[in-house]
Amino acid sequence: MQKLLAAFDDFGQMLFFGLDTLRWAVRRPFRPNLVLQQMAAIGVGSVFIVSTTAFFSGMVLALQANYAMRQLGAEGYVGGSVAISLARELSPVLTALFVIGRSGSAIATELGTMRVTEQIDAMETMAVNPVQYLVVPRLLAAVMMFPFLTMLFNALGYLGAYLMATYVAEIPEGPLLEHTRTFVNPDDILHGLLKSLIFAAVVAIITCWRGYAATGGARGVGEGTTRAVVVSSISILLVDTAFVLLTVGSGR
Amino acid sequence: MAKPNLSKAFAVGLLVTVCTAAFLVAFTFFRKGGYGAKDSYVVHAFFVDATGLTWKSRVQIAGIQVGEVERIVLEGQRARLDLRIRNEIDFRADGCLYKRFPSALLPDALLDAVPGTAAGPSLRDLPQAQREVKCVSEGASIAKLMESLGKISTDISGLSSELSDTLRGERSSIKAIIENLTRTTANLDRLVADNSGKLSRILDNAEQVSGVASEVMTADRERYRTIARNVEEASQKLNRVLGSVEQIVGSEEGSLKEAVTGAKTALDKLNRSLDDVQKTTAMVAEGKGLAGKLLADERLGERFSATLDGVSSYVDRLVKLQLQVEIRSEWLLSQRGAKTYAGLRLLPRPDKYYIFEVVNDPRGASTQTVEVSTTQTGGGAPQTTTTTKQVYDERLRFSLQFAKRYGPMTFRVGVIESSGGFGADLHLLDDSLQLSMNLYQFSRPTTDWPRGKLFANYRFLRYFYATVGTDDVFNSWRSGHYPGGPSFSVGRDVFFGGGIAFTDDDLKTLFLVGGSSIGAATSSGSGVR
Repeated sequence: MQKLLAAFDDFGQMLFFGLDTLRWAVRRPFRPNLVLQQMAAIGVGSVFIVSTTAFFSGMVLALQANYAMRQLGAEGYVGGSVAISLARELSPVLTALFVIGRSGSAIATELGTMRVTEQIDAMETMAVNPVQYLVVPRLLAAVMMFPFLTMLFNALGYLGAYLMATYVAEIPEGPLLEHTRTFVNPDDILHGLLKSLIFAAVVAIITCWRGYAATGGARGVGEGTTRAVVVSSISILLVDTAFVLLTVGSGR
Repeated sequence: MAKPNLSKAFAVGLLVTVCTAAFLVAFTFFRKGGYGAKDSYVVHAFFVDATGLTWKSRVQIAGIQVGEVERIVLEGQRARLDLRIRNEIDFRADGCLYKRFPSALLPDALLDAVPGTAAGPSLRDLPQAQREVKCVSEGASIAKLMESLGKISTDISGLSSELSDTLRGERSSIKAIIENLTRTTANLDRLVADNSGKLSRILDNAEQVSGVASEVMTADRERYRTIARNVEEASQKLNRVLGSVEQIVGSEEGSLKEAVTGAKTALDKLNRSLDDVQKTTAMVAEGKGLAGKLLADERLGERFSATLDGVSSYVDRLVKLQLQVEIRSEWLLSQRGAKTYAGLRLLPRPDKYYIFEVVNDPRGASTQTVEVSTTQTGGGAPQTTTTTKQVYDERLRFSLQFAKRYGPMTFRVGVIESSGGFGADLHLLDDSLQLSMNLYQFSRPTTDWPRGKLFANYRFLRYFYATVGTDDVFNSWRSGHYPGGPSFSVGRDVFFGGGIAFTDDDLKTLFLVGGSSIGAATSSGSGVR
C-alpha cells in the first residue's frame, strides 16, 4: 500500500514536472544551441539503431506477411500490409522504444548524475533554472526529432520489405507497389507522425524526470535510469493503445 | 551565445533533410487525389445489406477507381452509403451500383458503377438531398450464398417429406386427387349435355348454307353456259389470228432470202479481209515494208528502241523538272533604294538547278572606256590623245548560274549580275535558314576589290522569306558624281528585305510544251536535212 501511494505520489510529481517544463519552454531565454545539441544527441545519435531496426523489421514483416498471404494467393498484398503496419503502428512505437534505449537512458543517467553530484542544486544557487536549462532543450529536441526518426523508420522499413518481397519472395513488383498505394493513405503516415510527437513528449518528460529526481548516489542513478527505460517503454505502449482506441472510434 | 557545433548542426540538418524528402516522396506516392471537395461530388445510395463495404471502399468503372465510400450510416433498416465520385465522372440519375466481392476468400466488397445515360439528369447538378442512386444491386457474399443454400436444402427436405407422406397415403391425398378427377369428368359430361342443343343448331345452319349455294347454282346455270360459249369463241378467234400470222410470214419469204444472201455476201467480204490481213502478216514476217523492216531488221529495231528510250528519258526528266519562280527585293540602307530580282529556278533534280535572274540594281553599272584620237594640225606631227571615260549604265542585268548541292552546302557558279562570279549557300534548320555568299564583278573600275555579298534568308512561311545582309562587303562606302554625269555609289551597304519563291505547275506545263515544240521543230529540221 505504501508503495502504491508512493507510486501515485511519484506520478503526480512527474505531471507537475511536465507542466513546469511546458511553462518554462515558452519563457526567455531560449537556448537554441542547447536544443541543437540535444537534437544531435537524440536524433542523429539514434539514426543507426533506428535505421538498422527499421530495415530488418521491414524484411521480417515482409517474409511473415508473404507466408500468410501466400495461403490465400494474395502475395501482392504484402507490400500494402507491411506499409500500413509500419506507417500507423510499428514505426512510431519501435522508434520510440529504441530511442528510449539509446537516448532516454542517456538522458536519465546524465541528469541523475548531475542531481547526485549536486550540479543541479548549484544551478539553482546560481539562479539558473535547471528545468529550463536542462529539461526544456531535451523536450524540444525530442519533439522535433521523433517525427523525423519515425519517417526514417518508415522509409527504411519499407525499403527492407520491398527488397525482401521482390528479390527473396519473388513477388511481382507491380501488384506490390500498386496495393501499397491502394492500402496506404497520406493520413496514415500523418497518423504515425502525430503519434511520434506524443511519444516524444512522454519519453522526454519521463526520462528527464527519472534523472532529475534521482537520489542516493550512483546506485540511485542506475535505478533511476532503469526505471526511466521501463516506465517510458510501458507508457509508450499504453499511450499507443489509448491512441488507437480513440482513433478507431472515428472509423479510421 | 556560443556558436553551435557545426558538425552536429550539419548532421541534424542532413537527417531532417533526408527524412523530409522521404516524407514528401511517400506523401506524393500515397496521395490518390481526386477525392477532395473540389475534385469530387457526393452521391448516396441505400443498400439492404452493406456487408463488405467500409469507409474508403472502392467505387470503380471498368476496374478503374472513380470514387470511394465516404460514409456508411444506418437509416431505418437500410444502410446509407455516401459516395464521393470524381468530378470527371458524370453520374446520372439512371446510373446503377453493383456490390461485388472481387475475391471469394476475402470479405471486402467494392461497388461497380454504371454512370447511366444522357436521358437521366446529372446527379452533380441536383441538390445534395436528391443525389440518390436508386438502381442498386447487392451481390451476395459467400456466407450469404451458403446461408441461402442452407435454406434451400431445408425447403427441399420439407418438400420431399411432404411428397413421401402424400405417396404413402397417410393423408389420403391421392384419393383426393382421384375424387377431384371424378368430379371434373362429371362436370365435363354435364357441360356436353348442356351444349348439345347448340351443336345441333350449328349443324342446321351449315345445312341451310349448303342449300342456298345449290339454289344459286341452279338459277344462274344459263349464265354460266353463256360464259363457257364466249370462252370457246374467243379460242376460235385466237386460232384464226395465228393462221393469219403464219400466212404473213410465208408471203415475206423473198425478203428473208435476200437478207440471208446479204449476210452471206458480208461473210465473203470478211473472209477476203482476213485474207488481206494474212498476206500483210506474211509480208511483215518476211521483212517487207516499213513494219516488216522494223520487225525483221535487228539494227533498225535497236535504233528504234534506243530512240524510244531517249524519248522516254527526256519525258521523264521533263516531268521531274521543277520550275521555281522567285521574286525578291532588298532595301539598301545607304543607297536608299531597292534592288529587285525576278528569276526562275529550273530544278531537274533536287540537288541540281539552274538560276536565271533579271536584276534591277539602283547602283547601276559603270564601265570604263578608253578613246584614242589622233589629231594633226598644220604641218605638225600628229598628236595622239587618250581619253578614259566612265560610262554609267542603268540597264537591267541578268544572272545565269549553275548550282549543285552537297548535303547542307550548295555551290553556284556562272554569271552573277552580268559578271562572272560564284557563290555558296549553307542550309540550316531544315532548310528554313540559308546563309549565302556571292563573289562577282571582279574587275570594276571604281573599286579595288570584287563585289562580295553576304546575306541570310529565313523562310517563315511556305512561300515567303525575309532577308538581311551586306552588299559589297569588301569595299568601303563611297558616293559621288561622275564628272558631268549621274551620281554613283559603291561599297559596303546593309540591306534587308524579303521575297517570295514558289513552284508554278502552270509555268512548268508551258515549259514542257515549249520544250516539246522546240524538240519537234529540231527533229523535223533534222529530217529535212
